[in-house]
Amino acid sequence: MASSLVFRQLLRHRLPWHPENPKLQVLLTPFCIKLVRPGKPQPPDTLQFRIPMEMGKQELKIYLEELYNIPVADIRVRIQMGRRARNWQNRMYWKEEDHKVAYVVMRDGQTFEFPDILAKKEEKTEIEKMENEMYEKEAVKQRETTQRGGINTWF
Amino acid sequence: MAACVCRSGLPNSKGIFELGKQCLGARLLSRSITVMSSPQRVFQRQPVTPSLMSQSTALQTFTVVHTKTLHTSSSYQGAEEFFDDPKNWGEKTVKHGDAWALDQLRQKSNVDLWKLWYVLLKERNMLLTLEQEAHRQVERMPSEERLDKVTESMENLLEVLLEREKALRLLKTGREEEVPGKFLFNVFGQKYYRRFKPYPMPVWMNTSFNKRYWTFPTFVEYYIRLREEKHQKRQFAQAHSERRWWAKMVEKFPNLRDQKTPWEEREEKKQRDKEQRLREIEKEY
Repeated sequence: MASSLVFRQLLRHRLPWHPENPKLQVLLTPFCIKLVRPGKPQPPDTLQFRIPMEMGKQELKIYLEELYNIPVADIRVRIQMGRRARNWQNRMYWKEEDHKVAYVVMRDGQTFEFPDILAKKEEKTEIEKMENEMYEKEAVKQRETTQRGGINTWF
Repeated sequence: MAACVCRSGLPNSKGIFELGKQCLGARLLSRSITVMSSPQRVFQRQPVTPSLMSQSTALQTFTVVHTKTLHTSSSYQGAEEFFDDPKNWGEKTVKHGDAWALDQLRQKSNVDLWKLWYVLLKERNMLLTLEQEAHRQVERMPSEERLDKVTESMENLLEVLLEREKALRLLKTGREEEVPGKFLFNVFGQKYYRRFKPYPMPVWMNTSFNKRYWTFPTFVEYYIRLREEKHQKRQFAQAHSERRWWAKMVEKFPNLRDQKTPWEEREEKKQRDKEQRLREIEKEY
């Protein structure tokens, strides 16, 4: 372990540049990014990420290519200011966090569509299914009686 | 799952897989290790059919080589790792393991910890995307405690690495901290910790540095005393309010008279922690 294991680039005190000084070595990245569903429709080869403010385009490119094998053609970056939200009942104000948004264009015609992750799977238990059947039967009976003018089917 | 990954030729990483099944990141570990060990990342294009070949000879022939064995779709090859297993989409809760504890991480080698860091990072990215999507769709994120567990294990990992680094530094140089520092007084009489910075210019040449105040003049002592008085007043006020609250509680619940007061408990707890730390240090020696 010759050099420090901690991410040196975030240290406030950096060595002044000299050709003989050791270069910055990043052994552990502290950056976490999140894929985000685009608010406005984007072309199919773009991914939209939310990135920590300290991260840059080149760093993101290396990050994606090394960790996720996503071939990157182009990255555009902008900083989004967090909005001032409020709770109308409490009169509580707060500011949401600023974040950086990156639009990554993939190489070689790869496409991406944000999938529907939170679509609930409808699994009803047996009891619920039986109850639904009973309700349906009663509804059918009701319809028949109304058609016949409120008279039962015994007649 | 662990067996098929060991075949990919990582001799040092056996240690992870033994405990990895129980702990978080086991599922992702295998996925990520296969990614890291795959040597060929070839340009991926639409498969070249013989009709296309005959039409345009200028087409470069790139072979489609999938080194990943997990999925077969050609679109969004890498971005799938930002999402969970498709079986878990739409579930209310997802089964997951516990966070990595400090003692578990201390058994691992540095290389294993380095790999584990990236495994946890990818898992964290996945969970963050899920959280953001849940916010967007105004729905609940399934098992949000996973995120806390992952962050906890990442912090523990860092702590273990820093501990090891500190020990090595102590042995080699005799210093505890990476960057030397000192407690100093500023011109207002406040104590602060200054971390030393490497400058290209020597100190005796740096006139602006030497003109700074490194201690407080005599007329500031009065204001220091006022500040201390203010601090003490606040402390007394807090203690006083706590005692009044305790008196109210004792009035309502007289059995509390036999119990210890919260400030006494806090002091005893401090003493106990101190003694335990000393005992731990003695054990190591």
